[in-house]
Amino acid sequence: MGKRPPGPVGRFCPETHSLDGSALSRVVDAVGILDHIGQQGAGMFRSVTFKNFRGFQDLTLGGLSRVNLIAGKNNAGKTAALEGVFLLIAPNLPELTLRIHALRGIEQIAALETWEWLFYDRKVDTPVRLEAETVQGTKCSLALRLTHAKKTKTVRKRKKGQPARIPEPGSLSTAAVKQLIVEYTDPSGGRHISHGIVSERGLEWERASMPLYPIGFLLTPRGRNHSEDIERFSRLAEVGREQEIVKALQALDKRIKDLKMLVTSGNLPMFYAEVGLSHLVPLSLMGDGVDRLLSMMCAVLLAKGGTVLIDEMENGLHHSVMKDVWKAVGLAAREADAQVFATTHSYECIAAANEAFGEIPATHDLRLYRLERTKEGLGVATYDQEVLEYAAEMNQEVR
Amino acid sequence: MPALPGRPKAIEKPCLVLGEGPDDWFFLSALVEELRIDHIQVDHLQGKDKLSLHLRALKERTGRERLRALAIVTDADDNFGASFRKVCNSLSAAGFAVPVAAGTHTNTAPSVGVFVLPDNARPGELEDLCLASIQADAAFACLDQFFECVKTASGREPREPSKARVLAWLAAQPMKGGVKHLGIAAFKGCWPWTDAAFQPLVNFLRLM
Repeated sequence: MGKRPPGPVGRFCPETHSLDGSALSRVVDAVGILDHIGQQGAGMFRSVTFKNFRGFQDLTLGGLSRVNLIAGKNNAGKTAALEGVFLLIAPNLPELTLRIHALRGIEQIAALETWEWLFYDRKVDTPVRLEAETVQGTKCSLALRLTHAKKTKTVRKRKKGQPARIPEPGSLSTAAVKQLIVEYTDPSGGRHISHGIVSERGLEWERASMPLYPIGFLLTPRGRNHSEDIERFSRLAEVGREQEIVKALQALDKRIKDLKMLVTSGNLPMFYAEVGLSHLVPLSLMGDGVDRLLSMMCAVLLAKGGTVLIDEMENGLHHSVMKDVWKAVGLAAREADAQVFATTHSYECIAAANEAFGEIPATHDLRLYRLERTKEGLGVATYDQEVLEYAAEMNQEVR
Repeated sequence: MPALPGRPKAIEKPCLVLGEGPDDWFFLSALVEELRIDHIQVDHLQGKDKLSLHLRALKERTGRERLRALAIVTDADDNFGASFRKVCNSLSAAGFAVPVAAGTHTNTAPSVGVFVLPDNARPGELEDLCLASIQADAAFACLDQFFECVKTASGREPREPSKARVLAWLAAQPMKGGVKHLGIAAFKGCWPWTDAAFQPLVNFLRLM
């Protein structure tokens, strides 16, 4: 396997790539395109910095590992951290600035206001800056600026099915034309500028043409999409990897021997599990956890050299299975050379991760971050695997 | 008597005292309770070899913003100076301030103090401090006589004389069910807190 190119990792793609409306959480599906993967973990982020973004004035998650678990109280910024990374790994997709709100269930707010909420304290005069350094030492950044548009360019129209709301005609005057400038600086210093524009014509996008990033996924409890899971599973099945999913699901239900996709009604296939009964059982009847783990595993296994962001990791999963879930995710991430960021509220989830990664030999793939609000502002506590193991052994609170 | 934490414990009080192990935890907790000091939380290491790791974990631990004072209570073992330096090295490596002498606290935020048992001077351990506190007891001489008798009769001597003496002392206490641990004995009133032997440690805690 050769080294990754210096720019955003991946093969140069002359076409800007679009998102189809159904793929809410998918950034770039580059399976089959990315046929070269760099050195082990070469493209992984070593640190990410959020400046003037959401609730972060200036926060860095340093010493990132392959699997990065983010804990903290409610409204500490866990999901925002995932969103920041998500925007950074798809720097020419300005639509994501709205889609991340849709994934939070916010679709009723006009784009302009939604964009303002990307800025710390809605202070739009100071640009958002998302910065990252890879383990190879290369740096990239994404700046978001909300400005008056000098002119409206010919741009691709928003696709049907996208969640962003188009302002009502007449609700904005020409003077109110505003644009979100999404400026990406790649590791070689090249600048790539994309736009989102709100004008009397509605909401329009202009995407920079630039090298393709590796695949990235953002999985949220409320944003799951069955058709995406079908598609991702199909891609794995194409290359005979469906048993990897089955094996992972057995952590939740040992009876699962196989998975099938059947079309029994309507047009959309459904997952069925073979559990030793006379009929296959619809997977969705086997609990949220099974569905969720399937989503996670499909994403991680497909994220070759890319990034998987999982919000509320423990959602739908009983604490007793978390260790096996973490093992499956951890091993899959290593196999795929993917980097995982996940959030949790759960001590059991953290303890299970600690146990699971402690049993994966010769790796120190886990790091825990706790975001915390103090009088001085938002801070972060960082546990490497050794310290986390000790804290768990000593029954110390780490959430 | 408090139990060792069953659920994950954060830093909940502004002053934190670290003992070496569970026995130290019980002992120090009992002393803090006796002194009615509410602002001190007692914690323990998983053995003194884990001090550096514990301090690294402490820097990240939930509630760390509350920490105003940290104290480490450690055994001198064979060499008081070496033990004190070892703790100071661990403190320094973890980014904490280092006190100029054992039994003192720094003027930093958080303040940091180190107390080397038994008395910031001699070799020894927690057991030696407790034994020092009961020297005025009429039965204290019986301990030496007992071990001398055993030695004379069998030639056997305990490898850890201080620990053996503490166990013998506790075994002779008139308590239902007996008491086998120094730390638990502290909660059961076996150690005379007002004895002068405890005064340096009491003063050290009161200064936090």
